[in-house]
Order: sequence, then C-alpha cells, then structure tokens
Amino acid sequence: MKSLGLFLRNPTGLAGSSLLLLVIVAALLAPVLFPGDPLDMATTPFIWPLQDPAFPLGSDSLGRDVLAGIVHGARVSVLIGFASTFVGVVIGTLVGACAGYFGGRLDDLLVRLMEVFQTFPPFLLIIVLVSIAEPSVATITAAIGIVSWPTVARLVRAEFRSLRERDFVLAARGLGYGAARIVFLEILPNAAAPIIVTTSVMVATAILNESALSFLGLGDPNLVSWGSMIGAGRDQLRTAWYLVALPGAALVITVLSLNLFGDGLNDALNPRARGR
Amino acid sequence: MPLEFPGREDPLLDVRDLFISFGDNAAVRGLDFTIRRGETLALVGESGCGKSATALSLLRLLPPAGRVAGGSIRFEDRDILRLPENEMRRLRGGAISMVFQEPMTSLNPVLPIGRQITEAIRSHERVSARAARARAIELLNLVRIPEAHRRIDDYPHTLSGGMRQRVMIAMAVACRPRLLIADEPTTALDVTIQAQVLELLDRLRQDLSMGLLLITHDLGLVADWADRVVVMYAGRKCEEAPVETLLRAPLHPYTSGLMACSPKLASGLHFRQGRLPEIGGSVASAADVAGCLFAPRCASARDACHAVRPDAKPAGSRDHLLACPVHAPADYAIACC
Repeated sequence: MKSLGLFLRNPTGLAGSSLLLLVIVAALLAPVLFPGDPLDMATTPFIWPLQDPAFPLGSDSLGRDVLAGIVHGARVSVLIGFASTFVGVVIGTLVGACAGYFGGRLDDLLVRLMEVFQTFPPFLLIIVLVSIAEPSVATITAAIGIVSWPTVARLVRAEFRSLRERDFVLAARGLGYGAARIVFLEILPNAAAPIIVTTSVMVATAILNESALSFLGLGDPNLVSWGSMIGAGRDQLRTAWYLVALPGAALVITVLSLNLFGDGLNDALNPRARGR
Repeated sequence: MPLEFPGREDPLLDVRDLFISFGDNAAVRGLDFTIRRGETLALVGESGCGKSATALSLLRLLPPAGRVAGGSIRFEDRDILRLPENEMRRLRGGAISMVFQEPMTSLNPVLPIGRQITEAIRSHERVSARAARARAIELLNLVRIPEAHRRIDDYPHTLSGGMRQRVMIAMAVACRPRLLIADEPTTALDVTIQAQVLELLDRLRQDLSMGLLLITHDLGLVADWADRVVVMYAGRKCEEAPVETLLRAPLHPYTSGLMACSPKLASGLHFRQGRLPEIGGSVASAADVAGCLFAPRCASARDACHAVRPDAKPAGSRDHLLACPVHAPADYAIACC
C-alpha cells in the first residue's frame, strides 16, 4: 500500500499509467465505439485526417476508417502483449525459480536451455515459430511467450540464488516447510518487485514484436493490427504518409506508456531507489 | 502443563559419537550429549568449535557442504539420521524447533508477522485461518509483545531486534515443541534485551516442559539459565557438568580459561586493575593434532597429551565428565586409552 502511494505520487508512473489506461479502455470499448469490422470499406479512399467529421483520422487506400482500425488494433496489441508476457513470465519464473533454488545439476541443465534460446535472434525465432503454425492470436502469443521466457528466467534465477542463502529461508526450513512452499510463499514474494518491473517492459517488447510480425504480413489476417496498418500504408508513404504515421504514433504512445509505467514501478518498489 | 517425565534414564535427545565434516575438515569429532525433558543444556564453546553445526545437524539442516559423517542422533524413539525426509519435515517446527541467531534477518521481510506465525501453525496442524490467527495473537501475548492484536499485521521491519526475536520464538513454540534449540539467541541483541529473551525462553521451557538446548559462547548466560553445561572445544566435549559444579570447580584447563576470560564471572575484574586474561592461540591449531585437541594451547600440556586423545570420563561424580587426565582428581581413570 505504501508502494502504491509512492507510485501515484511519481509523475513518471502517473503519466505512464494514465496513457496505458487510455489504451486499455480503447481496446475494451472498441466494439462499442466502432461496431462492425474495421476491415470493411466504409467510405471513399484517401480522406485525409480532419477533413471529414465522420472519419476524423481519414481513410486508407481501400476506404477503411483509420480511427476504427487504430482502436481495434489496440485490442490485438493489448491482448497479445499481455497474454504472451503472461506465458513468458510463468515459464520463466518456474524455470528460474527451480534453477536458482535447487542449484546443482538441474541449474546447469536449465541454464544451458536458456542459453540455447538466447543464441537465436529472438525475432527470427518468432518468425520461424509462427510460420510453422497458422498465424493466429493464439500462435503469435505462444511464439512471443516462448521467446521471452529466458529473460525472466535469468532474472528470477539470480534473485533466487541470492535469496535462498538468506536466514529466513533457513528459518523456514527449520519450521518444516517443503520446497514448494518455500519457493512460492517465502522467496517469490521477495523477488516480486524486479519481476513486476521486467514484466512491464516485456509487454512493450511483445507489442513491438507483434507489430513487426503484422508489418511483415505474418500476423492474423482476419484482425486489424497497428503493424498491418503500417505495412499496408507503406506503399502510399509519399502520397498519404498519415497512414503510416497514425498507427505508428499509437504504437509509440503505448510502448512509451509501458516504459514510463515500468520506471515508476521500479522507483516505487525498489527500496534502494526510495531515497528516504 | 505439569512435568510428566522427570526421567533421567529416558533422555529426550541422545546424541552419540557425532561426527560432522565440511569437505575434508572435521567440524565435530565424536560428540556425545543428552538432553532430558524440561531441562536446559548449555553447549558452550568459542566460534568455530562446531556448536552451530551440531545444532543444525539435529534438524538435518546442515548446508550442502556439510554432512554427518558418523554417530547417531536419537530424539525420543526416532533415529533422526535415518528418518525419511517427509517425517523429518513434520518434526521440524513441530516436536523440535529452532530459534536462530539473527532475529533481524530470520523473519521474511515481505510478509506480516501474523501471517508468518499462522503459516507455521497451519503447516503442522489442521486448523482454520481464524483459529490460527487467534492462536497467533495468543502466542504474541505469550512472548509479551504489547498490543498483540494490533501488531499482528505489522511487517518485521517495524519491529526492534528484541521484538523480532520474540516473534521468532513465538513461531518456534507455536506447535508446542518438546525440544527447542536456541542457537546464540541473544548474541545479536542488546544486553538489556538478552535477559528478557532468556527469561522468556526459560518460562516457556517450564510452561511447555520443553527440553532446551542453549548454544552460546557467553558463560554469564550459562551461569544464570542452564541446568547442565557441555563445554566444547574443536568439535569435542572437554567437560560436562551440572552448572553449579562447573562454575564452582572447573577441571578442564579450557573451561577454566574460558571462565577467566569472562569479566562477569571473574569478579572484581576491571580493566584498570589488570589485563583481561585470554587463551592464547586459536581453534585452528586443532586441525592436525593427534592427541588432545587443546594441547597446542594448553599451558599444562605434557608429552602424553600430544600423543593420546582423551575421552570424557566421570571425574569426581557420575555427572561430571572430563576429558583431561592431567587436571583430573585422584579417582579419575588414568589409564583412559
């Protein structure tokens, strides 16, 4: 609760969370604000922004509403961003906790596994994974999650390696607690702060990865996404640059908000940064 | 709870010929001692003599580098060293509990103290969350935490060192252990708090008729709170006696040396009147000794002391054990080895 107060008094964290809230509300309300498929042709092509009050952000080469596309695109970005991060954090925390707490051969094995994953350029691995399966929200989520878990695992492992030596862990063993209880109920809460902070940055990375995939045409073809909008607008970059700039700006704002949010969390949760 | 077992013949804990090693280094080399129900046994010795290793081995909590290399530990009718891990877990914090040296770091910093106590209770007994919380408040009252019902949701960092040690003790006695191991429970605390904590431990020992193993290097504490004393040097017992006997007439040169070093016991001693005596050398000198481990630091060591390692044998009375043929009274079995 003290951390929450600190977080809300922090201008960085407040700005980040306000912007993020805006994006999430847009994603949630998209079907209400813009009913119907945003991929349908709605008006004449190439209406520039601020020219037609019915289409405040204009229309693209096929006459699709750009604002509807951006608002619906937020759904895909937020969904894949959070879901894939969840997958990555769960796998990474489990692997990192086991490696860090138990050590020994299991640790060696799991560290090698992390290293194998980290030898691949992450985006290339995502492309490979998505191309093997049909591109859909589920497969993209899984692919990004699978690529991102080693980051969390390394962090969690390092935290657990130092925390397991602490006196309270020995005291917990002295009370007869089993390994699972010590890992999840005693040590994990102590490692929560860095995991939460990393999570916010991972969501941003996942959103960027999803956009990059869609930009390359590897996204879910039935859903509008900021990446696919930028990809489609690329051909008209000289004549109608707003088709690239507007979804690009949405992407920048979202990623920025997540980074600010993460910084704010870090300041609030990290006792050494508390400077008081 | 009345003392049901006055039994001298039926020890609560019986440690025989215990060997503990860390890699190639022996920490404990053939230690014997017993604890009876409801009594306080003090294990005394300087740092590095194997006191803490002994304590941890009783719960099978030695760090991965250490292992019990020989001997036996019996608790009631159980063989601790052969117990399956799940039964050992039930024993820890249940029948045998431990209070650690560092109250500042032995509580989980991110969990409220009440939750830590209720978890300790609920990990051993099937009780509802509500009942466990009521017990936790009761326990906090028992260890004299003022306004327990309010402090129960406090985090450890809001408590002082003495208060935290009380909370640790509350957790340790939550499931009415029959043996409580206190490993230097007051070393990290102020002198004024020390007495309070020991008084608490002693009262709990009586109320719960627990055996108490008090591990310390402070002979002043031993004089006030122990029933019997085992003096350890380099992982071996050099002397064991009821506390009055030991303080009145210590026999082993190491025991006498320790007592001479203790300003509280050497009455009238003040730094203006003279230098506080010390025992020259360090425990490390016992590393590769064939005979008596204390011989390298002993002023009265003879040639035989460097050749033969003495065992603890009755000296004077049945309950006074001594491992030193040189300082033994006349009836000591000289032909010990």
